[in-house]
Amino acid sequence: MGSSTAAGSTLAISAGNPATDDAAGYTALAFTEVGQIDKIGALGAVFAKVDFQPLKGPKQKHKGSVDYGSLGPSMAYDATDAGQVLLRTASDDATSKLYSFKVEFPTGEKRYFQGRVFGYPETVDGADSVITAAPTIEISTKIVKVAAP
Amino acid sequence: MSATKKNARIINSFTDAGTGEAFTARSTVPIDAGAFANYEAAGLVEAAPATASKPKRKSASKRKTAAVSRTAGPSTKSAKPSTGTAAAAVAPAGDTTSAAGSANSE
Repeated sequence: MGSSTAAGSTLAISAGNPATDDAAGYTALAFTEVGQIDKIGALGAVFAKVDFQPLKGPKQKHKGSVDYGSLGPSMAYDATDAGQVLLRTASDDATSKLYSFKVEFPTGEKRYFQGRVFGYPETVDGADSVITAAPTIEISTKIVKVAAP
Repeated sequence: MSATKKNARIINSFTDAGTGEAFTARSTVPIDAGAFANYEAAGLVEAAPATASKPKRKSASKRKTAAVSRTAGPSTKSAKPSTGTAAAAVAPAGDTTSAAGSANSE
């Protein structure tokens, strides 16, 4: 499939957790879309680089521990949007509960993962700007990729 | 996605960007069980109180009242029977056959 613009992409959240950490487990969950999003952000795992320089030969680079990264969406603050209310609830949650998330591309491809919301800062800028929110979602599980139907 | 629905009492008005549905505070609507769980976690809805079981409890208490009045003798309470056995208790005090019959049926 060719390249695509981001227009039409969505982010959704679920208070439930998948029975299995795969497409089947996530598909069984009910997700609530987060409205008024203008950016979803970067998504993907990063491995730590472990270097070893032998006396003879080039430097070896090994894959170390993996960090599934964090998602930093931005949105117009909406007090009545169900998805945003659940995001705020997740942000206020002081427990270690994992929430499930789904990012869907306009092509139909999906990315599923679980994480915790580490903050929900709200920005009140100038008179000619919209009040915005920029939560940080730290991803704690492998990102499950599902191809477009 | 669950096809079962739950009766939800809306606590605060909200909209669902994915489905386009809008919900008004203090209303009671059926919602898909999966969506209900998310809305409930967000503090937006709660389970609507069930009211179907109340009439059954009332009739059971009336049956107990009728049974008490049969053993104690005629009383004003037995003037409101709700079942066939309670109706037998309305019979005059001298009619012991019907009272005994209704007692045996229990």
